Amino acid sequence: MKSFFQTVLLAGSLAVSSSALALDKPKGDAVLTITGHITQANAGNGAAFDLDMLEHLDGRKASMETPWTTGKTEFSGPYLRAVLAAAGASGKKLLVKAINDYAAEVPFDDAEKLDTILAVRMNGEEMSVREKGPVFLIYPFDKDKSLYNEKYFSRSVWQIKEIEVVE
Amino acid sequence: MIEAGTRTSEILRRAGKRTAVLQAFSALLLVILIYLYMDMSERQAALQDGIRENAMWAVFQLDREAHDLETDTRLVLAAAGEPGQDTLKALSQRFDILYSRADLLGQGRFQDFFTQSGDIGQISTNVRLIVRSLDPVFTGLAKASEARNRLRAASEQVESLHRESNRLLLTANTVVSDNRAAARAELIRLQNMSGVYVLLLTLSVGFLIFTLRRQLKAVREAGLGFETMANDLADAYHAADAGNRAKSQFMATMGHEIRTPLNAILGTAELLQLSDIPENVRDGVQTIRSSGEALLDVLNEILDYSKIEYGKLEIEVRPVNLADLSKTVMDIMGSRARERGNQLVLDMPQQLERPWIKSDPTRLRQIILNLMSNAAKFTSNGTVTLRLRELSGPNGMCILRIEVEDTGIGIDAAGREKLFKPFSQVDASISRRFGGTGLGLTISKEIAERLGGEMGVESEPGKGSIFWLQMRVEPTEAPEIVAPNVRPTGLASLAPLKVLLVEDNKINQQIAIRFLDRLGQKADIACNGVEAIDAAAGQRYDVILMDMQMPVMDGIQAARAIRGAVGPNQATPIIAMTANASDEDREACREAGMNGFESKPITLARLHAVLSGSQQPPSSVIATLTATPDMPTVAAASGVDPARKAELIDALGPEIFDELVASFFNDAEALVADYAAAIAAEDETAADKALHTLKGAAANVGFKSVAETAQALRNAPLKHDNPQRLATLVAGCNTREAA
Repeated sequence: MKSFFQTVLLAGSLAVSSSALALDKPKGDAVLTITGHITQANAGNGAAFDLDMLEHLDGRKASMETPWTTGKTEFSGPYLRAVLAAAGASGKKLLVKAINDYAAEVPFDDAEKLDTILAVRMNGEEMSVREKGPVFLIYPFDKDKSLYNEKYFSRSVWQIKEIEVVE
Repeated sequence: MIEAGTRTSEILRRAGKRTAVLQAFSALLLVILIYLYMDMSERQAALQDGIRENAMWAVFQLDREAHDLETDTRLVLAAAGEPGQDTLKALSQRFDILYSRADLLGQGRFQDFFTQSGDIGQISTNVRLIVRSLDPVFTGLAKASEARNRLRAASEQVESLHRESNRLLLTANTVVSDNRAAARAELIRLQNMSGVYVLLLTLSVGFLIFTLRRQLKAVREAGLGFETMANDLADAYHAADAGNRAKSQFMATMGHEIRTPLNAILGTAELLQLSDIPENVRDGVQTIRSSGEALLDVLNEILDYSKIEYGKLEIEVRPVNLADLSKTVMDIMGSRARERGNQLVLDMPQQLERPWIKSDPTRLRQIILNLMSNAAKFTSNGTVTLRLRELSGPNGMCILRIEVEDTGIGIDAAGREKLFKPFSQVDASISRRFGGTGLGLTISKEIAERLGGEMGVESEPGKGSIFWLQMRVEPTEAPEIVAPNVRPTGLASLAPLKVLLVEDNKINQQIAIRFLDRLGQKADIACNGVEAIDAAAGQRYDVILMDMQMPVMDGIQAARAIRGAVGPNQATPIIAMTANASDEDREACREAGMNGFESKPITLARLHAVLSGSQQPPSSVIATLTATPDMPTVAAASGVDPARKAELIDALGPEIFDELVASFFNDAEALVADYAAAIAAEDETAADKALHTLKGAAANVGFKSVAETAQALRNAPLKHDNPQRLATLVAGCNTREAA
């Protein structure tokens, strides 16, 4: 637990420093690409992240119940805002797209004002496509019960492959 | 009034009932409201179950993925040759997505939805089973050598998966539609129910308002009722109070009216006893006397009580010598105590620290006498002790404690409670055995309170009682003017004053002039009111001594005229002197503008006090002739009053006293003759005048029996033998005086 927080802190400081620097190219397979209105592109017009890059960003680990899981489930991953900052994103809304072409519109504010995370691990394990991986947008249902409704369920996109930042 | 009260209480009672109903109803309403809220929110929660919609979406997605997998598989199989790595990878990923979708059906709350009805649960299980069975086909497909063959073998299953997922979609849609319809029906039912509740609520509130209005009205009516009742009560109280006053007034008047003839009876009985009568008659006369005395006691108690009730009990504070007072009481009680074989003991310090205190001697004596006579009454062959103690209270207060202890029958606790209540005796048998009004202690207690003290009793049946009186007293110096019978040489000398003496009776004139002379004063004399007015018009006097009843013009009229005239004596002190000392007379004197009031016969000391201007409160002895407590009436009635005689001799010298007595007998003979003449002529006014003059003169010289008899005859019907009786009485006195 302690080491995780240290990691998170480290990731936070890295994220802050890296926002000024150009985003490194992913070393492993890219699991997420931020496209659209961004400044830190590292793969064509997009900012691609591999799992390692995502896990080094500032984030949180939280246990909660969701409609798609049975019982309390622990999710961990970087804050959505940290990922967007790393990509130098700015805009009004996000178009979150899944592998199966499902997409949902998410207001930029959900990243800024809520502790939304891009979960990359469920119960400490990486998530396969079968387990709704590799990236799952998780709202802080544990912190705010009023989020537990269809509006946020439909924004909770799983099997995310791309986030398009729209101005 | 009673009707109004009943009505008011009826209204209140009804209002109370209504309030109870209102409260019950309100409670019921509250319960309904709580139930309504809970029911609504429960149903609301059921309706808000968003999972159903979400599940529908999940099923739709699953069907789409199954369709896509089928299409892709078909495309791969339709293409010629082994498919490329990328194609297989994409196909594998598509299966993964389908897997995650199928998996979702068994997760969390979706599972609840998919197991709620048999059909849909069965189909969802089928779907998941097929997906699991396809798992080995698609896992590691890209790396498999015979991918195409594997796919072909599985194509049948993929198709059946799509069929099942489509069936699931249709079934779910039906279920959701059914649910939706049911929900809508439920919503309508809820709405209807809400309508009913709202209607109930409206009715309740309406009823509440209605009841409240009625209640307000009832309270207002009750208020009015109470107001009326209060007014009625006030009226009733005033009526009762007026009645009580009238009763007290009546008692006072009747008391005076009864007392005068009673005194005559007592006087006559005494005279009879003195005369030569047979022994059997003597016993009868003795009975008359003792009965009369008892009656007089009762009468005095009733009069005192009526005064207390009427709020007219007057207290006159002046220096009192406790030792003298106690001795007087012991003297008076002596014979009564002996009658029942009781021994009297006076327990008093040899030397009192404060022998003189400020109090009302008459009233104080009355209390002690009452306690002593009670003690003597309820004790036989025992001891009655009068005990005086001087205590000191906080802040150097002086407290006097007087106890009367007896060794009599004692009183139990119940009796002690009733003791100080009016008309109550310890028990009914007491009044039969011992008589009495039962007022004595009530009066004593009342007087004690007026004197600033309190009374109490300690007693045990069979062991006797201690009645105590304890009061705060103010010590004082022995007064310069001391009680009568003390040589007047002790009197301070007075500056010469101009005195106008208004007096019609010659003997009274003589005594007054002698007294004045003794005090170093010269006086002008007026024989009636008219003469007094004339004298007052001519010259300024320092003091006017005014008789009340005089021929031509009485003292009241004269005083009024002197006060009303613009003469030199408009502000001169006028002191009324009368034998008729009633409260009404005092009031009349005050109204006429007089400054003081002295009972006749006046003593030298009182006269000195009046003239010295350092006048103490005037004497308030109302019934001078009857209830002089210093000297029991009957004891003094035989012949001349020894105290008066002593005073007169002291003041005038024995010769002048003898002269006075002689001239009294001369006058008396003349007056009796006048009286006889008036009776013969049936002239009531003349008869009354003669009796009045005789009474005044006799009282002045000290012949109390004559004075009382004369007074009694004034109120009695005219009878021809009256003068004869009077003459005999006067003659009797004369004989004794000569002897």
